[in-house]
Amino acid sequence: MPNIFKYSMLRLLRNKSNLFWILLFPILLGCMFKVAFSNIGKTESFAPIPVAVVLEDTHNADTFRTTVDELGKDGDDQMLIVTFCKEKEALKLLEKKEIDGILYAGDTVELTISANMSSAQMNQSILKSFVEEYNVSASLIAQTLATHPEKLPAVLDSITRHTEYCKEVSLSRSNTDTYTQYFYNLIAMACLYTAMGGLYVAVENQASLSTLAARKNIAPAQKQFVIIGELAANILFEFILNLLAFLFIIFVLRVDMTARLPYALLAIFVSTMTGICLGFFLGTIGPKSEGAKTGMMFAVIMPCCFFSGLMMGNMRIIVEQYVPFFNRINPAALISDCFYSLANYDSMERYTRNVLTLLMLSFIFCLGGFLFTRRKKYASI
Amino acid sequence: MQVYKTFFKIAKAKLPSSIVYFIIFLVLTIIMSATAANDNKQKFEVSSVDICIIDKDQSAASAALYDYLTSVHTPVTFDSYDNETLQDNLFYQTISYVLTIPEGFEKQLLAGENPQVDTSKRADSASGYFLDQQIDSYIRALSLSITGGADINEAIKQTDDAFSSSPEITSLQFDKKSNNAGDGMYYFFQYLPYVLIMMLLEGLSPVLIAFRQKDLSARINCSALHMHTKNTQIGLGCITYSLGIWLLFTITSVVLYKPEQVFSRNGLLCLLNSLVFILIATALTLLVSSFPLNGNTINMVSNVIGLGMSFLCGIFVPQQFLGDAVINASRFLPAYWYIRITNMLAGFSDEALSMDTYRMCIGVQLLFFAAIFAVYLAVNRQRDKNSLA
Repeated sequence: MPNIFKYSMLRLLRNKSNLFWILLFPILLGCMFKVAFSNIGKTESFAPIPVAVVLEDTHNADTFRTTVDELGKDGDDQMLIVTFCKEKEALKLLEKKEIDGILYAGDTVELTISANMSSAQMNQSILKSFVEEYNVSASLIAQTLATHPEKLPAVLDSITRHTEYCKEVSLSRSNTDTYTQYFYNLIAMACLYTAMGGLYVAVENQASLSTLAARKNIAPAQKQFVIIGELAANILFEFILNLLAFLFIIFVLRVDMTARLPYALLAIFVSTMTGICLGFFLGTIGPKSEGAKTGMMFAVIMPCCFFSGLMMGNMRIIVEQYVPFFNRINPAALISDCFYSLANYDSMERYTRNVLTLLMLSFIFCLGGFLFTRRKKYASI
Repeated sequence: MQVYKTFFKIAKAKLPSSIVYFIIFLVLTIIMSATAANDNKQKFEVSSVDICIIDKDQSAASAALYDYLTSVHTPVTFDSYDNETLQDNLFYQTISYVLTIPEGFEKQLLAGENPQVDTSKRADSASGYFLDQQIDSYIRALSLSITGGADINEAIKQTDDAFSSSPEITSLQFDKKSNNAGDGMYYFFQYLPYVLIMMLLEGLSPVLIAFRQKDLSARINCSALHMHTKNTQIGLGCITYSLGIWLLFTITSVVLYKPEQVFSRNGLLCLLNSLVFILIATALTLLVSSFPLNGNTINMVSNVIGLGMSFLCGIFVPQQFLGDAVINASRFLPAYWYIRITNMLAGFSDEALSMDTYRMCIGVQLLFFAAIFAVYLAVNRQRDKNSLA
């Protein structure tokens, strides 16, 4: 068996297409994800909003000017970038999409926005709620003045104090953003792609499928040892490749997946094993030709990855709503959930459940594979 | 036309791997068009956020806050409100915000203390910031009314009146034509470059490579057929193949989005843009097939080129979301100019629609075509020289 192990390793090392799909392809996709998503958090986070302010000659407009000046000051909490101008100019700026809205200050403050700027929708909403709050405060002051004028100083005082009522409470260990889930799924994909290796183990050990297998079957070595040796070599070799891809993602691309690293590595090892066992099982059933087998393998793996969220970020929770059971057995979902639960939950319960399910799946696939390959006799033709 | 016929015989055998991409593309655009249908609004509306509100106070004040927030946003309810459910749904974007109104909220408010509500949102989300602001402003208004001497019911009424009397937003329509068409068609044209590159590389390059096999090409070259005739027929085959694919997509777009939309001014501009892009894709295929590759390597190369260009140039992720460095680098790729046109026509970007920009982008794409084709010719000439030697 040591010899079988050694030569399997050598063959894997020389298999360039395997190296590409297991090692280089995930790294490449990882770079693409990084490039594409690294800026999304920034656009979603808050930046000062460019506006034009048109002032009419009223008392309210004067007060508004001081408020706007305050909000337009340079600094970390700058909310607006203000241009004071006449209406005509403001409309031109809006048409050229250089500002997100025009604030007219007369007796009340009014907001005008452009319907052609779907990209600025969030800023338009923020402006709307800013204008609303300003008008609401003004109207409440007027009301107090009319009903309880003696309380006016207290009201004005509480306006200037500007209390914050919201208290941020974190639900998880770290506040990771949704885009990291693409990287969880990328690793899941890479681990499942190792099924290719398992598939070749099956093809190269059944005399009816390849000439190499026919040659190997007449060798005086016990079939189960040959297969076990080859599977072991595959698991070790592909694990190293997956590990390299993972290290690249966390150290070169600096994706935050380093939470509880030893457990993450264990998850990758178990996942690789599941991938190879899955491939081995698929290699023993279904169509005869190698091409059709590979096709079938991708037809199994790609939907798994899709439903776990490799192509659409929120797929996993949609599955959770309608068919939660599928999330408990879909290997891609289990693998990505390992990383997710390590990053977000203190309790190891969910992680342990995922890893145990993966181990169980590996065992079932492996057992199935052996049942289909053992005690086969081939006629001489 | 023997070579021409053989060309399509080989092409037919390679069709399945090409058709897979066509199907993927159809599914992708149909999903995207369906989700985009909700976004296509004529009138300005405040961005509605999916929000989960847990009211532990069950008082008039907390109910008023709930009503105000749900008048703007969509409330989402769950079977249980444990941390795990909330965190999972927040992370996978089913909800964007969790608000917990603690017990004693109204009491504190009436006592003039500053009650605090617990909120959770995703890191760096603008919609979360926006909700913080709305909640603050509503509670502040309530508290102002109470400071001003109103009791809780009066305060709620005053606050609601004040909010509803705030002037409506004026929304101006500067460019009337562009927003009338549905966005679906633009998503179709946005994903098109990816599928064109994949289909041509997977479908056309194996055919060209087959003709380049050493023994086969030697065998054809020593036949009675003129070299010139052979090359013309292969060239004709390429043109037919590419145009056929372009027509296939044009017909698909007409079926999906109705003729009046596809043949509108913007639709025709998109069609012309895609015609220019398929020239580039064809030139790229010719260049790739000048190298002796097998099926597996073609698969690798086409995935690298197709996915790479799609991510860098804003096909999968909109250009305005990409960093400045990425955008600057992607100017050196043809798809950037293609996407810039689609974004401009669809109004996805902040760039105002102008024919000058359109012409410039088409021009740059044609230059890319010329450049890639020139490299192909040079590589080919070099190869022919070597093979003669």
